[in-house]
Amino acid sequence: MPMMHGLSYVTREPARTDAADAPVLLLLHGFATYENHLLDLTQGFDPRLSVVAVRAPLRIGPGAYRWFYFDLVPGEAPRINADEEAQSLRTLTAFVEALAARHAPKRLYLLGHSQGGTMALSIALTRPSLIAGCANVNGRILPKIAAALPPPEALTGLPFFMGHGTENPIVPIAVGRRMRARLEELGVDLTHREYPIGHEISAEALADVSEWLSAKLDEEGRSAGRSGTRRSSSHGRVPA
Amino acid sequence: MKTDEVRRFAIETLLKAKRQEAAADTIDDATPIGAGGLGVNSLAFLQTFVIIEDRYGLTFDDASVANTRFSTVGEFVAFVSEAVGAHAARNVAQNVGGA
Repeated sequence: MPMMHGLSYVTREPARTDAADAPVLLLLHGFATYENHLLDLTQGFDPRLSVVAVRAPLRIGPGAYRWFYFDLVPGEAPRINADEEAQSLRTLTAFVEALAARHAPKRLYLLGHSQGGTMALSIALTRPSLIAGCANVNGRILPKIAAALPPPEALTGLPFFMGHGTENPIVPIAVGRRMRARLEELGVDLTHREYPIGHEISAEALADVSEWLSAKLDEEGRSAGRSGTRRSSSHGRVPA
Repeated sequence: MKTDEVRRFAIETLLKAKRQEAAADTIDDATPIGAGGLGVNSLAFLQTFVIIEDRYGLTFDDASVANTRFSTVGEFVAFVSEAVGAHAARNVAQNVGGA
């Protein structure tokens, strides 16, 4: 398995585009699973995408990796291992920087589930210039990230897909709705969806992410040749 | 590598994951690993693989473990026994080939 900046990954080449020119979708799996989880679930995604599925750096056991450990405390936010999270974020940031450098700027999309969604949001909100959009299902914005956001203009118009389970026992829907409000304040291009699920990722959520991605690629195609259009023209927020 | 030894170690490791006294002879292949049986949670279950890896010097394949359904002690023991046996056979073949 290839490795870059200390992270192993697998790829799926696009079916319809020359790989060198293809937009990239980076998949970030959740706690105690591995890269093939989301790679398999996104088989039907837009054939224009080159897909990279990265493995979290810390091993729990076979087929099970993590970005960081956490403890669940009833009535409180999950208590995370901050050292592991910080190291994983540094490593992932270097990985995303290298991936973005390989491709044309602004053509890298992130999709993360659960802890992978949390990592995707951390990258999107700390290094928005590296990515074209961020999709998260059942992840959360860590308090340290929320406390150190870049200037609003860095995020204005950046596409976000936020999917959340209304029965989520780990990241309650109230947290999802607070994230929605915060992202709206920041002026991102937000698509917020809620699903009658727990912490898992459902077929319905995946279908919505797939549709969202295809729409963004279509917009990207229409904008090709024009400069500076994405941030100023794509505020099509979709209500839940 | 004796199958009985692998079986005993696999079961003892499962029981330790539950933090019970090892009593491998009190359970059988049909005993559920999780709820209604040993009560081993998913995280502790994953860590039993790591203990077995350390003991026998192998690394379980990610996809094989992720794609296998482990409901009972018997399913777990059969999987572990097969993997340990295949690993031992590979080592023998390599030693013979390098002799």
